[in-house]
Amino acid sequence: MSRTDRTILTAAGSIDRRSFLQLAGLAAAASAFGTGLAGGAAAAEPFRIGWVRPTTGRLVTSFNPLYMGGVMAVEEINAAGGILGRKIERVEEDDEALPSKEPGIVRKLRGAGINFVVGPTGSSQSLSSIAATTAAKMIQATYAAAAEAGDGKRYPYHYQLLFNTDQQAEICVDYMLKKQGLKKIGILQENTAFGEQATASTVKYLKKAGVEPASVQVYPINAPDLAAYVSNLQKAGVDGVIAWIANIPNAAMIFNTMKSLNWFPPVTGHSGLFLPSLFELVSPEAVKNVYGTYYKSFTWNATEQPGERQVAFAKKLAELPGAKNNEVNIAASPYYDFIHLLKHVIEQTKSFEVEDIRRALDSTRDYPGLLGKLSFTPENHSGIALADITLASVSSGVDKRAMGCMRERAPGL
Amino acid sequence: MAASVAKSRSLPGLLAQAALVVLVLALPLALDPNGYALFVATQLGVFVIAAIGLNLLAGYAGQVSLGHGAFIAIGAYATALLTVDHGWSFWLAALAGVVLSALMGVLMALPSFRLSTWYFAFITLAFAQVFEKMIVEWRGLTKGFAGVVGVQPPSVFGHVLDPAGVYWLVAVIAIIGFWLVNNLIRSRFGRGFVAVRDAPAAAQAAGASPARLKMLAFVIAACFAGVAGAFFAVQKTVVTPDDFTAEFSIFFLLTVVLGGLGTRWGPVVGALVFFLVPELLTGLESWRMMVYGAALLALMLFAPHGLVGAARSLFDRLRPKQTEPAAQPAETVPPEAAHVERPAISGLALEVKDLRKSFGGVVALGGVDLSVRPGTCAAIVGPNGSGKTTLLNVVGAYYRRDAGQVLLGGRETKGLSPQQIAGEGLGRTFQTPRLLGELTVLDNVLLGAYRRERASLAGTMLRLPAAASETARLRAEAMELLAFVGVADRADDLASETPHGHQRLVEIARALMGGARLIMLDEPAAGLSMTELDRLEQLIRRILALGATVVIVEHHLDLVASIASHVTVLDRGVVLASGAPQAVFADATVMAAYMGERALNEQAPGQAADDAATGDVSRPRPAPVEGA
Amino acid sequence: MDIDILARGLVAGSLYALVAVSFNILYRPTNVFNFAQGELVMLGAMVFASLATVLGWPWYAALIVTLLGVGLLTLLIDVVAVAPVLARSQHGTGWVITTLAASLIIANGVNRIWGPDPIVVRPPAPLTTDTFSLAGMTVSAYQIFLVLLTIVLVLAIEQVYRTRQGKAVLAVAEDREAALLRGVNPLRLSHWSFFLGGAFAGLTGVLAAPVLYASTGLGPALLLKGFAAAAVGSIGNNRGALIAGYLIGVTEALGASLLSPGYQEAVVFLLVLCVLLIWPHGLFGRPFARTV
Repeated sequence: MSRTDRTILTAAGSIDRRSFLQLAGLAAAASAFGTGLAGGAAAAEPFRIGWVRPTTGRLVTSFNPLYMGGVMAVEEINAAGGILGRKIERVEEDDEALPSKEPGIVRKLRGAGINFVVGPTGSSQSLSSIAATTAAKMIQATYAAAAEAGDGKRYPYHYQLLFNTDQQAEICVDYMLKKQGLKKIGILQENTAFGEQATASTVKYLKKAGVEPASVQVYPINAPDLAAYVSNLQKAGVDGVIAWIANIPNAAMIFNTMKSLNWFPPVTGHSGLFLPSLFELVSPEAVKNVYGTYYKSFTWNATEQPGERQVAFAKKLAELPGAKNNEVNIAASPYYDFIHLLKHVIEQTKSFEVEDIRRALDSTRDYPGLLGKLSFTPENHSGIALADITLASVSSGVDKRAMGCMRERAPGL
Repeated sequence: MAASVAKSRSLPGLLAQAALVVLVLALPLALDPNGYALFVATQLGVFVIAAIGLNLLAGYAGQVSLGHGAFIAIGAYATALLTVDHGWSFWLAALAGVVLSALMGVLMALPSFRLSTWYFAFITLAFAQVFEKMIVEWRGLTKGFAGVVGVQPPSVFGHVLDPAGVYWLVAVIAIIGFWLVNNLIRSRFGRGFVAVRDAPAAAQAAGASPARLKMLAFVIAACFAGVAGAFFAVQKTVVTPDDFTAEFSIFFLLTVVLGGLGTRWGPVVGALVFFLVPELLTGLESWRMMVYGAALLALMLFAPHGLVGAARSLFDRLRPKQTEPAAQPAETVPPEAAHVERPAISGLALEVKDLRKSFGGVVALGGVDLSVRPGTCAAIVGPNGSGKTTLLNVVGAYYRRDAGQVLLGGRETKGLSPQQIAGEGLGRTFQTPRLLGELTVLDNVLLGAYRRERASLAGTMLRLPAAASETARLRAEAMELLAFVGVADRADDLASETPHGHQRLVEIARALMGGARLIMLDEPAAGLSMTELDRLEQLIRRILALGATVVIVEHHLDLVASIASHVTVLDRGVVLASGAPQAVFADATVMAAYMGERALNEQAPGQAADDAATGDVSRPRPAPVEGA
Repeated sequence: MDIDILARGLVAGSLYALVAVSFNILYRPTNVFNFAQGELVMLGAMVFASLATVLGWPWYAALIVTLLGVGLLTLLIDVVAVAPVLARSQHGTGWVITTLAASLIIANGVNRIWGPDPIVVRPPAPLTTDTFSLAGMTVSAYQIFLVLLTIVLVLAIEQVYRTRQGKAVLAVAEDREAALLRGVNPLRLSHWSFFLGGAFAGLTGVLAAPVLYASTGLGPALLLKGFAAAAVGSIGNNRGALIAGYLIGVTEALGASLLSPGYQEAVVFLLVLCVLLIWPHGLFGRPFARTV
């Protein structure tokens, strides 16, 4: 029964979700119309990319905004004439956000002669999918923060265009120990591949600094009540929490529990915490000490301002239907950069062949992505540099300067 | 469904099955070897394997298990973890998975011994939920939510199988599994399963242990699920907790229900429809569950035997009516009935001393003595609620006695189970005939031979020659016994469609088939017409003539007076009188106790049998037998 | 031992007891154990949350509509899915499948209407979910109210069974045919019981919502825990259900605290299995004889 029994409270509520879906439907129809017209003009066969995302199931609401940046990139490219004259066509497959669905979907795409895949989202789903695409030699970018997904030797056809769990853990541990000067660190982790790898990285960096985690709590993402986990942390006497929470409903339950316990330790975690929908379930007071990892170019502090390109992107988002309240999700997603990078290397090599493109990707250095400078080698497929990552405050989301997807850096950064 | 255990195998049927096998095996030739269609076909094969096992458990043995996904999960996880993390070969890992799954089957069977059907259904549902949670919780072992990734296909003689190879392997295993289970359900085990499901007391009377049969069904179903799980892992290449939710378990049961519980083709049809249709209707995916729910509801209401059952009854309705064998009057006695020769039986003596039994505060037997010499007929009479049936039940160990002795053939039976006592030569019939309505009359008689059959489980499933010849021998003997009791012409009819009077005779044949040397008849004359009564009397005389001992509980005093050599009158759990029939029935106090003053004045013995034959101990009241 | 465990256990236990009582109401005249009950509780929570929180109705109006709505739906289940099966065979277990099917339909229908996102429900003033410290326990006013109301409801239901109608229900449970002879209409009684059992399930959902959030995922867990409370407390025995509810709630909280919160289901499952294997009719049931 688990598929239907998750307590996923994306704060927006289903009414917002429905209106969002309608808008997304309109957008899709509009883009289909556009490609139809263009297709009549250019006889070239469309360049088909597998587009794996949930369209049914419990994570539809949470995951769909993550693909909007990718859709934007596709539309930008198609409007400018496509890649070497070929329009991009998205081939949608519904994975219900279930790892178990991925191998079948890869088989289906492969059977349709598709060699490039965007998605799935989620580390567990992605690792399941990557295993299949690697065997089938399909080039893929997933939304998987797990460090393992950026291992080019293991997965030579998969590219990670977002910060991974290793990088996030390093930033968080560094901040807790050095900037906040805390000693008793607790870890709160969701029971997914992301949580698992993030915790492993966190423990690794804590130990490097000579610190043992005071308590590690692992919760199932479908647990109806997370109070027990939070009070276990409090009982263990931790004074800082590194929280690997990837969805808003869980986050809301956790911060509400902290509020009812009147306990507000500094919490650092994933960029997923930035979603404004959190504020519909949690009062800003409850998250005053909560920080998430984020891309430096999307943040400000007393002296630095966000990047120009990023500000332009934010303005574009403000006009995109359905983007409201999901700006951070759209901005932090790797798919926008991946589509543009793909165009870049295809035009560079003048080839749509998988092996040519793989070689070109593997030799990419300092490609100016929206999220940061992207570089790959045959061994390292994790493209973001540590220098491009920072921690930002969750409560700054209500600040005027936030423009939806901008955030203020954590104190001291 | 008669055909579920029926023996008939027509030539067109065989040809159709052969064609189906060829079609199934030729499928990969028509499909893209790396395509999605073959992927789905393989998955379907995996589900069919598991569904065949579950159908045996839920359909035949009647154990509604909502936790079947757990068995598949064990097979899949064992295979995935052992091959990916520990480098085992697929075959060894799959074997380990099947063994672990079977062990889990043993554990799951235990609660079914004590809990009624729906309690058990709930427990299994809870188990499925807990199991799903535990897969996630035991991350160290199962790798949590992300699951095990990268399961490799098995290799055969050094060749790693390609997708088509995996499909063929799965298809061949599914076909063999179907054949094995088919052989099983036509055997004594199959009859035993149905008896456990429909009439556990009849199973015990035939010497079959319901607990053992349930255990057997669980273990076999678990083995099938374990095999399915192993191939599930290979086919999917990824094993995650999301594959084995409680919902998945429920779906599995629903699959079998949809196809037709307890029908041979049910699991195949069910799996095809349940898992294939959604692939064809991808646009309706989000409506899928509601459609399933509604379909299931409609099916349970209008076609309790699922798609296969519905198709069969439609087929039966469309087929031109044959000459009705039932048109002949039910009461004609085949003239040859009396002439069937049967070997002599050495009757057992029964000795009951100071037997006591109470339910809560109510004393049902307050120190009963009874002595029956071998080869004689003893009758027990008394008003309703006087403890007659309780006495039979305590003697047969269906109830545990509070105190006293029961000696069967001079041996104390304390501590023996009903089926063990049946094995000692105690046969019985029930107040309400306990026939297996969905089996033929002949199969019902064959159930009696459960304890006599020697063929092993493996021999039965593989249909080895020894098992086959034993089956043929017993079948002939069962036919002979049906002739002996006079219903040979009904051998191939469904038991539920035979007239009430015949059902009692079939029960007697079943007891004789089990090698009974002492037969307890519980109100055999209730509800019989005069002609049938005559036949019954003749039959009891012939059984006595063979040398068997008969103990009869009966309201019909004419019958008792005519055949019994000894009568015991029970009233409120104690012996009121006992002795020769004439002497006992002459006793006014006996008659007063038995029939009340009014009856004594107005009625002669013989009409008392017209009283409604209700049970001695509150439940169950005789429910009308379907189709009777 | 942490005294907070007791508080958490009693609150959860009260909810389980309420679900168990809703099972019992419906079970008594029909001997049917409705597998859709968990989803009915969930539906009650969702309907109430939509009316009270999203549409802003006053709580009493939302409550009345919720109880009527869920009650009528349950009546529909009886008419469509249960009565026809029972008419065919009084002792069959076809209703296991039909009520399961009803559960599937409700769960997925509700999911389609509301989506997977939960709704926060605040209790009516002056009750709040803000916690304070009481005798060393962290509790909220609403939690105390919930525990007390549960006891009151269970005692009130017991009183109902002492009335003439209530006795008729018990008589039908004992022996359907005999009750029929005495002029009781079992079909009408079972319709009423389904309606009331459904309404009570809806009430349980309403009461659970402020504690658990109103979400479409409430059903399965409450179904099984409610069953556990009903079975351990002996089916049909409401006081037994109350005590068993507490027992299960506290055991669960204890398991969560001593082992890991992920083990609470497993701990409850083992408890129920052990109790049922030793006392198949629960802790407070009467033994009955096997009959042949």
